Amino acid sequence: MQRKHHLLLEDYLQDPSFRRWVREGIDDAGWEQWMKSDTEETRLAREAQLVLLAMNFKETDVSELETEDALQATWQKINNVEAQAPVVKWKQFARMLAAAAVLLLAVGLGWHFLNQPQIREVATEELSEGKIAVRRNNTKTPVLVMLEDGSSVILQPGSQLDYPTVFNETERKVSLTGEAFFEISKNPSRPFFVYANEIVTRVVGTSFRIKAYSNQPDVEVIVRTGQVKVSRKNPVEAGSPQEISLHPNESIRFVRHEATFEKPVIAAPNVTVPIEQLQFDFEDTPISKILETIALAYGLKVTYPEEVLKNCYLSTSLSDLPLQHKLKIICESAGGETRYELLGDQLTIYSNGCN
Amino acid sequence: MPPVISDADLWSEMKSGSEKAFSSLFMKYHVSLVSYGKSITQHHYIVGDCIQDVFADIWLYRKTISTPDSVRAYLLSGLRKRIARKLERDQIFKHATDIEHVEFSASFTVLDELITNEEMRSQVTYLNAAINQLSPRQKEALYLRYYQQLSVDQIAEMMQMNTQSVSNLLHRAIKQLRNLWKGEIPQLMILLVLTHCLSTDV
Repeated sequence: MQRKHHLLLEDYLQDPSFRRWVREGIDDAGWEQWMKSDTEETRLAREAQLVLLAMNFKETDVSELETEDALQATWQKINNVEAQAPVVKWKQFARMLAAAAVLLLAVGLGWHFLNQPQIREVATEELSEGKIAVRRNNTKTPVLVMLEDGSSVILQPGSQLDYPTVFNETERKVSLTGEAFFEISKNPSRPFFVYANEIVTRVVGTSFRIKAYSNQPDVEVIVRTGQVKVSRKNPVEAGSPQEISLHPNESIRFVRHEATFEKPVIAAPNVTVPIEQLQFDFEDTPISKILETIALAYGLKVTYPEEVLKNCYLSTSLSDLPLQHKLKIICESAGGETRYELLGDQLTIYSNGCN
Repeated sequence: MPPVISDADLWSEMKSGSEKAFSSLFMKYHVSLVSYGKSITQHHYIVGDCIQDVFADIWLYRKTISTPDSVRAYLLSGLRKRIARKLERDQIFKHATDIEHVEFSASFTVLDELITNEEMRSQVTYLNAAINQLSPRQKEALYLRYYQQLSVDQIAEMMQMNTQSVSNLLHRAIKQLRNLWKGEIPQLMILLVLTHCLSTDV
C-alpha cells in the first residue's frame, strides 16, 4: 500500500492506513521504518500517533444475548405500532372490494388483500410513564388532533405534537415540532402552554398558529383570536421575564441563532392558511353550509341527514372556539335530538330536525 | 468467514422488506449506539429504549425513507435526536428540576496495547488527560470525527451547527492539544489548568 505524507495533523488522524498502523499494529505501508527518521514530516506523524493513542474510546460491554433481546424488543415495538394502525379504512375497503371483484376471476381475492400496502398515516405511541402521546403527521395533508380538554389542534404534514393523554389540574402543556394551528378551550384556572423549540407560548383560551420546524432558522407565532404570551424556554438571566403579549392578527418571529425576538408585526392576511381565512360568523346560514365550512377548515368528511336539516338556519359566532365546542353549539342550537359523532376524520350528524 | 455485505446493500434489502437485513443492521450497530448513547446522557435507562425507537421507525417507514450516505451517521444522528427529545419531554411533562441536555461526558482512554516504551506512555497519558479536559462539545466532535470517522458535514447536521463552526471547534481542540504538546512538563501542567478554564466557556 502507498504511504501518503500529509501537511496537517488532522489528515494523519483520518488516514486509514496510518490509523491501522497506530490503532491495530497493522503496518501495510512501511510506517514503522519511515518514522525512524527525524524530519518535519515524521515529527507531525508522531504527534498524530500520540493523539490517536490518547483518544481511544471504550465501548460499553454488551453481550450478544443482550443485543438479541434488544432486537426482539424492537420487533415487539414494531408489532404494537402496526397493530394500532387501522388496517383498512372503510373507504379504502370499498375501493378494494371493487378492485378485487375485477381481479377475482383472474387471480383470486386473497392475493390482493395480502399485498395491499399498509399506509400508516398518523403514529400514536403511548409512553408507559406519564402517558404522553406522541402524534406525528406523516401524511401530506393536515391532521386534526383532539385534546382531552376539548382543545383542537390542526397538525401540518411532517409535524409532531407530544401531549399528556390527561392534563394535570393546574396547567396544560404540550410540545410541538413543526407547524400547527391551535384552538384552545377557555379555562383561566388551567393555562395552556405550547413548548416549541426555544420558546413557550402561554394562553388561556384563544386560537393561534405556531411554526417551529427544527431545521428552520426562525420560530413563528401568529395569533388569530384572543391574547397569547410568548417567552423564551430558558430565560437568559434570572429575573428577566421577557414575556411578550400578542393580540389578534399579530405575529412574532424568534431568530434562533441570535436567540432574540423580533418586534411583533401585523400578520399579512395572505400568509395564513385556510382555517384562518374562513369565517365562522354565521347569520341566518343553513346548517348544511355551516357543517361544510367546518369540514373544510378541519379537513373532515361530514355526513348529515340532508332532508331533515334542509330548513334549518342558524345565526352564531363560532370563531374563537375549538372544534368540539363549535359542534356542540351547532347541535344545541338545532335542538331536537341533534348530536354529533367524530371518529377520526369522519364527522357524522344525527338529527330528527330542528325546532 | 461469511461474505461482508455493505451497509448500502443491507439498507436497500431492508427497504424492500428483508427482515434479515434489518436484523443484520441492528446487530452490527447496537453496541456502538449503546456506547454513544450512554456517553451523551447520564440517564442510561433511556438509551436502550431510544435505540429501539430509532430502529422501529426505520422499519415502519422503510418504504419512504431515503438511503443515507452513511448508515452509521444516520443511526448516531437519529439516536442523538431521540435522546435530546426525550430529555426535553421529561423536562416539560415531568417537572424535572434540572435542565437536562445532551452532553458528552465520556472520557477517552489510552490505547495501551500499542504503546512501545515508557516515554511514549507518559506522553500519551498527559495528552489523554488534556483531551479529557476539553469541553463536552469539543470532545463529542473529536469522538464523532476521529473515532466514528464521520464527515464534518455529518457532524454539523447531528450537532445542529453549521459546517464551519464544527471545523473551527475541531481545529481549536487540536490546536489546544498541540500547544500543550510543545511545552515542557511544568508548563504542561499550567496549560492543563488553563485549558480547563478555557474549555468551560467554549
